[in-house]
Amino acid sequence: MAGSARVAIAAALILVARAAAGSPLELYGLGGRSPALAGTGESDSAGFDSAYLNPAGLGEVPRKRLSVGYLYGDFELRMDGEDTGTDRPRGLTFGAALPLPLGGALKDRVGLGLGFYIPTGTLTRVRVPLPGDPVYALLEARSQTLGILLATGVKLSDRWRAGIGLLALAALRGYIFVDVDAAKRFTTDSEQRIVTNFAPVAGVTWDAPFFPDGRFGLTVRGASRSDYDIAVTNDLASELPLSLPPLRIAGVAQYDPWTVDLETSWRANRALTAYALVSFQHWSDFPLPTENPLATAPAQEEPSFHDTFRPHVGAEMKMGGPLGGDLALRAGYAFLVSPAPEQKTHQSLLDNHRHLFSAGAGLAWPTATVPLHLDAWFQLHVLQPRSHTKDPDAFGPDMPLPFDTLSTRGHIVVGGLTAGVDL
Amino acid sequence: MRRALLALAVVALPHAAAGNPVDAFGFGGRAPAMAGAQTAAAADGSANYYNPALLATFDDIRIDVGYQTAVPSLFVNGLDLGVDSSRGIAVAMSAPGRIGKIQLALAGGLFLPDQHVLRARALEADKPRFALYDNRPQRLFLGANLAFRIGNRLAVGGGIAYMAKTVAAVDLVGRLGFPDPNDSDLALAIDADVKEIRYPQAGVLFHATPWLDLGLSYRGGYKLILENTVRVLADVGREDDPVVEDGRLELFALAQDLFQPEQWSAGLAAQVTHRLLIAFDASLHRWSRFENPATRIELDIDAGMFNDLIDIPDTPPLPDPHYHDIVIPRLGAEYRLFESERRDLDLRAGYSYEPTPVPEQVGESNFIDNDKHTLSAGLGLTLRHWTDILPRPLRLDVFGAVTLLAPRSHHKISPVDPVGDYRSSGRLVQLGFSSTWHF
Amino acid sequence: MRALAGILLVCAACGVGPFDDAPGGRDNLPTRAAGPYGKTEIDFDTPADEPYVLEDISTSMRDPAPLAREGGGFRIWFTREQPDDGSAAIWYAELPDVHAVPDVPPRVALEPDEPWEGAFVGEPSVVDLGGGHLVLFYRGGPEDAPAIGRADSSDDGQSWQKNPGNPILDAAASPAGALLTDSFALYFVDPDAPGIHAATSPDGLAFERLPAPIIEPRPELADAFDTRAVFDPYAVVTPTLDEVEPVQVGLFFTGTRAGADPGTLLDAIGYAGSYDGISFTRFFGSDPVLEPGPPSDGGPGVIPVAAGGVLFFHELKQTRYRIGAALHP
Repeated sequence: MAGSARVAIAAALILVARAAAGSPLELYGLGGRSPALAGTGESDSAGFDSAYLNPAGLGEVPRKRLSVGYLYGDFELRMDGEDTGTDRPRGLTFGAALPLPLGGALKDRVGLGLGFYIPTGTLTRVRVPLPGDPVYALLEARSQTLGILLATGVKLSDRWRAGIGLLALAALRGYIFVDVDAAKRFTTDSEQRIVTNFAPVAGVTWDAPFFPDGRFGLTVRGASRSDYDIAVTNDLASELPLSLPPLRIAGVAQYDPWTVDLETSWRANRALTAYALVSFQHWSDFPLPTENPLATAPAQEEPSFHDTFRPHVGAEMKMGGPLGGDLALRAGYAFLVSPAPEQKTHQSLLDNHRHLFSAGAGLAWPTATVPLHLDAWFQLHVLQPRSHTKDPDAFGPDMPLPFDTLSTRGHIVVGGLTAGVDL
Repeated sequence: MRRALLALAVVALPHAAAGNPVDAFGFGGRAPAMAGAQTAAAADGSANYYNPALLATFDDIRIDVGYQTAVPSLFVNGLDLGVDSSRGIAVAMSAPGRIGKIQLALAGGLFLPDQHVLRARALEADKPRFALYDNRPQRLFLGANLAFRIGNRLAVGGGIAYMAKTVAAVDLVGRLGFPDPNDSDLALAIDADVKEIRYPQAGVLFHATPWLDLGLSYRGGYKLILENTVRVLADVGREDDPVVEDGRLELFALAQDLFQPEQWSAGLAAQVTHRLLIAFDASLHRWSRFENPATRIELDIDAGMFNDLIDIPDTPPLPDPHYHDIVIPRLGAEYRLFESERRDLDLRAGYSYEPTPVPEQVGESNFIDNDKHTLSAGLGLTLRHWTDILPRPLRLDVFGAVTLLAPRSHHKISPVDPVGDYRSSGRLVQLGFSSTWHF
Repeated sequence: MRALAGILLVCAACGVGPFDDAPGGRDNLPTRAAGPYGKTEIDFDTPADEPYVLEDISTSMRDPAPLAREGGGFRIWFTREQPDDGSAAIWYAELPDVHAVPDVPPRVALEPDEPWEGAFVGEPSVVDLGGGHLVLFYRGGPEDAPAIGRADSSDDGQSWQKNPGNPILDAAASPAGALLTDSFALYFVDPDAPGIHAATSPDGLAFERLPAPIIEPRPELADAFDTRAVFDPYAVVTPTLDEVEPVQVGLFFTGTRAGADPGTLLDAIGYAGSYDGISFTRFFGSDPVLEPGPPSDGGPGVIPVAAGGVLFFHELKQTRYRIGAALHP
């Protein structure tokens, strides 16, 4: 086992290349509990998943816990009935949460959380078609990204908890210069550097005195962005009869907007807890996937995405489980409003409203010799059918339309299993 | 409407340097002060690198944070090449735990350069460069480990570190302006995958006697491989009157960078007296597996009427660099100058000798490297009971080291070698500090 | 908590590039200065008329023979020829750099005054023996009956004394002198024997000529820059780091091939190297080390500098030559 453990403990590291937009964290959630609750459960999370859901929960980490999970799914996205052939998401999740045994005024108040998502096979995928070609801008290759989080939380008082974390993304800079050397060989002088862009995650939770059976949670996540900018130049005019212009390969591989989640949880009784969450997402800053490669080319049309509010609801029922353990049944629903307008003009960045249905269960034996926690979850995303019709007046007389009318629909099925052990 | 395109030669790819910054300069604030002789002696998060088994001997949560820098002054023919410094933050964390009766620890270590997470560089095949310092330290090191204690005498540990290789394709479609290339109209599409590469690390620690520890560790080899394909499909000429229709260029480039040799290390740590600790390591680095990192290029062009004017030379095979394996001995010592209930002060020193794996550069290649002698020293201060919030000790370490590159000459066999004979020499100065927080 | 916050803050500063530096490791890379060379580019902010450094509206300036100037800059001896009657003398000028006008204006260094020289003294080659002692090899006499003479200067080129035994080599022109380990080599052309020839001497006076040319045209290589002729040699001697082969001789020369238009010829500059000064290996395959033109370039004179080289050449414009500069890398 020693050789197979993959625990990401590294501090704020990144390597995030997110596909076209968003990340598996934003698409499915993190951990084994919140995905079963359709993305709710932020206000009372207290494990490694708090690093993304709401770092304030790390202020109440009960014990050191190491978690490992696996995710598997299937995308069926269609354009005019034809499957786009999107790769199946598969990945491993690792997490660790631990309370820091500080003393004095900070005794039993501070915790650390680490979360790590590794797509199996491909760590990062960038799929950016030619401008104007239709693509599911927020779903294509979305699950193929590596995500690493680090966060800490503190219990400020019996009612207040706060936390902060970091999600780091890779940005690529560099140049490539092609020439012919003294021995008449094509050669390159190139350099590519990955620098990091950080996106903060901050959260608070509050047990309001007027709401004794509930809790409020607020999470703010900064925009996260993974971009690339490579200059390509050459001095091949002496060898080729054609001179090549300087090129710039630049764009945004992954983008998550800044979001504000406001959640309330309500313990109806000892067994049942209900959650309601509203998520504001600032999609209006969604960038172009690629820049023009030539400085002389006219500017591309902006995506013109709009901000969204997305409602989520969930419920968790706890009861006794097999072998003396604890069983939790979970379910949830969310309506994921699409930020993309109808694609009438040059851009064809497709997206649909989605209905998210989720369910899951958790089994735990916290007092056993080997304190084990198992969580399974399942999500069905149903894309609300939509069609896009190009406006011929937006195109020049010699410019072909990428399509006349395009219908989009589909669904996403994904599930996962997470196992945690208290140390 | 897509049009065929003409050749665009683009290549990229990093060229081999080697290893990682921790290989070159050490990790943390204590280990470099002892010349890296830590396979049996690491006492902080640097065990993530030197020997993961040592992590199981820690009885509390430890977080190490530090900063280290290495400033090279590397000369060829007496002139400074301006090789970049390596600097960044070193962080490690370890947490003990227990599953049933099994005592274990999980841990991770990170070195993150503050200029960039990773830099990959490709140079022309014959361009001179200090092979082990030019780009080798320009990447992050990330290791994560799990360790177990087996009885009172034995501990084992291991983990997997991730790096990645890239397979990318860039398509440029449209029209290439001729005779004015700035009149071009090209659109861009990208299809890139970064695939994972895992390399293992493992270690064993044996308490031979109450005063003697023996350690053995292994680190897998690694190389960053990048495959880039550029396809250009375009008409050539003016928009209304192209001289070439459906031109095509395809360029494929394959290169590697950031090679890390497979490493075996054996070491001992002897608490010779109550105050004096002596540590010795011998490490085998398998440099013989190093391949020429220069970019391999395949180029195919269909430029219509210009085809007769294009003469793409055959690419000669890249010469084998003929690196060889090396053994690096390291000797370190730690002496307790002062100890009390609230403070301890340790003095450290070390020496290591790293022979060069690179042969004399008599041919086309110019991988410059020299034998290296490193002298190091450092101090460690342990504070106990200094605050109520942190009831456990805090240790502060500083170190400095100087690496001297023994001068070396390279004489070219060919009288028309474009680089000619040269003499390499230099030195590196390393400084760093770290703090170890116990919880 | 403060410690953790500090950790996070420090982490946040890492990798973001606020301390980003320009990439290094490319400074002062060693080179033999064999090439390739590129002519200096036009810069309207400099006083020079790049790539030209020496030109005159009424005379030809050609065959540059440069030496590095102590403290920076270049010393150049060259042929100054009257295009109407073909008379010529060796002139001298100094440049602070290749983007400036001469700070020591051109002046006469050596004129024809001996019968064998006729009205022509030119095609200089200067060898620095150290201690202010310079040796000047030059061509005297008409094109169809040239010979090589020697002059010495003990005051670092301020004045010259012709050798009383001149000419030191008959039937020879375009001399290029080279000081090897313990002897002299003289490279030259013979109007009756194509190619570049060599002669050696223990004292730089009594030369023994090698029977065969050391560099010959390559008519068999269709794309070569020197299919028709080779001439105008210039030798650069640099020490090696090897005891067995203590010096390397780099020979720059002019090569001729057929031009694009029928009946025309085109000159360009090439390079060959040797460890013994006798057997040479070509560099760069069939290509020259300076842009192949048009226009024609020839008459190379090269100075290796730190991590590079400066090549002076002459170029024919209409009826007169002018001297330009090219740089490597």
